[in-house]
Amino acid sequence: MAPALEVTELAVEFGDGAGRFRAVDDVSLSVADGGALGLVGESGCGKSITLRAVMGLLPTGARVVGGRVLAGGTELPLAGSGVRAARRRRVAMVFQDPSSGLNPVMRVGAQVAEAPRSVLGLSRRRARARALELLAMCGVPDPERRARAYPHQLSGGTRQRVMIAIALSSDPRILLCDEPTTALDVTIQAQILRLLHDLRERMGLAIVFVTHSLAVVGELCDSLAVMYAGRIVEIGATRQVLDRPGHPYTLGLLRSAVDLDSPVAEPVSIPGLLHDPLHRPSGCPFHPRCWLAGPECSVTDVQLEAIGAGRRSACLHHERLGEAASRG
Amino acid sequence: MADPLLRVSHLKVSFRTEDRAVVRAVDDVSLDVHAGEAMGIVGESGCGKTTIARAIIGQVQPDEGAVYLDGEQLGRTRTISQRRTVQMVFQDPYSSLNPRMTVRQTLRELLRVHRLVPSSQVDERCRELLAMVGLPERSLNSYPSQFSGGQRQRLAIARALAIVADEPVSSLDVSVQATILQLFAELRARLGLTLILISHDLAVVRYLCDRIAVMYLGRIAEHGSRDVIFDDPRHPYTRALLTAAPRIRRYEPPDQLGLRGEPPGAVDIPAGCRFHPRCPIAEGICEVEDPSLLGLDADPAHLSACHFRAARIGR
Repeated sequence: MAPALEVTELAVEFGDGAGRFRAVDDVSLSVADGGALGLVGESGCGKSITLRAVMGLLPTGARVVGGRVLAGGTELPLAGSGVRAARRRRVAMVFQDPSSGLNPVMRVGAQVAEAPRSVLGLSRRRARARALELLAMCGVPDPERRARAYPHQLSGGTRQRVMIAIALSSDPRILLCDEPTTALDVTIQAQILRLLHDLRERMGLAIVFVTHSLAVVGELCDSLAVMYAGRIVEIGATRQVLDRPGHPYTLGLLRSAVDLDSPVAEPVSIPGLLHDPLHRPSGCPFHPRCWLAGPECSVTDVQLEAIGAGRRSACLHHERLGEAASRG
Repeated sequence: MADPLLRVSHLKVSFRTEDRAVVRAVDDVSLDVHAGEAMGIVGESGCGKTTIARAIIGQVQPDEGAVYLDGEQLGRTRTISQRRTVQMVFQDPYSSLNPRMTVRQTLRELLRVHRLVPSSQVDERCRELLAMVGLPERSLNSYPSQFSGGQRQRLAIARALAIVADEPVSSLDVSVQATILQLFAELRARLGLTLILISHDLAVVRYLCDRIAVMYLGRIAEHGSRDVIFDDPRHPYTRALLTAAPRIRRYEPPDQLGLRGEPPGAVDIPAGCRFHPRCPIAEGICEVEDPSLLGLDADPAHLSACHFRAARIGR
């Protein structure tokens, strides 16, 4: 069976002439029904642009220059007039700021009922019932009453639940999430993560979750792709990647983070800064910041290669990471 | 024990909303922070933690209560030296630096006034301080106007004696976050910097702070040393926050938080214990009697505003 979502060799560019650069370069990933893939990396790594390219929602100035996106085996156009129509009933997206996707002057029940009516062709009454069902499924307390409210009358957490209900209202198989819990309080964040986790299990929803938090990705996602400078540098099962990172950048991210379960660990930052996108280093783009790098790293165009069952890493020296990680 | 460097005493701050309702943002909060100590204030949106920070640095005026620095009450207007001593991070730091003093003069004054090092070592410590905040040694002879905003920020951190930091790392990438956390830890260890850290991130607070106050709806729910707050919480809200905080290797979102619903607004504070409508262990007394913040019999320095503070909540 075809995976719920398959992205192959996606490439996105910004700018023209001398200002042209690749924000997303040769990104391939796939998510099964009921699976959740986390896309992590720091600002500018291309994780959000990847998500937006899949959704067909690139910002002005960005264009897809290569690659394919398939949903359940059907190819989705990446640009042009058919972008939105092709994604209806297949792919939906939730954003960090729940207010951005809500119409402030329309009752939330009507907003949730919109797609069931226009996309799924339900009658007004059936669409309304469906909206209440979706709100209840997404854990909106007292859905009958909240359906009559306007967005500003709801708390941030409830607004995010409403956004998820709207995203699910056209029966998509794939939900793309761009940091949907970053702006929320921890107790609300935990509840939204639990909701997404349950939606995976109950409905077989496939999720791609963009975040900068390794803890959040660890709790929700069964697979994990780490991005650096527009490329995936490591991809594999979440537990394996977090327990035994296969790329020095992944290890660097883990060592930078403070975690409640290892309170004694001192956070150690990754030396140096991400390069200016117009001046990409030769060879492995991470080599100027990498403590494992040798002369070969600045000349070899490193590709993702299998380093174990279902795991790939773009590091020439990934074997040496085992020792480094065990030394702490 | 010596007097605290900063004392927040029975602070009450309220605001009026557009429709004239009164929001009791901070409702009778007292805190002592000793020199060299790092105090974490945690809680969710609307709990009043940022309002406390703003009251400490004088950006909001309390309705009741006061803030004391070295035993002296901080008034409506503050002296330049008071403003410099207690510094808010990630505001414009320019105002805190004297534009007519070089960096060397500024730092020397700090080290001498507070007698942090013997005078023979002042110059060496100035250079060390600069290196710690990542500025080149040659900037010792520069004036504040010659620095970028980010550099002035770091200078302000270097010359303050107490820092109030409101979510200083929450919007930063993890590797940058690590740099700032290290800087705070180092300034504490080497200079005895006093830190008041406001954050929703329990891992950050655990890393940096010796003592932690957990706030809920304008009040302190629990207050104690880092170890007791994390290992033996005695308020169900603290327990819920600890459960909710994501952990890198838990591999599953928590199933039960031990907390119902969402916080009510600070306009509508529930009667009795303000946490009772959301509390998993609430009983009849919680609906009628507002629990005081009291020490445990076994550990008077560990305070909880729960009627059932004597019972272990477990992990």
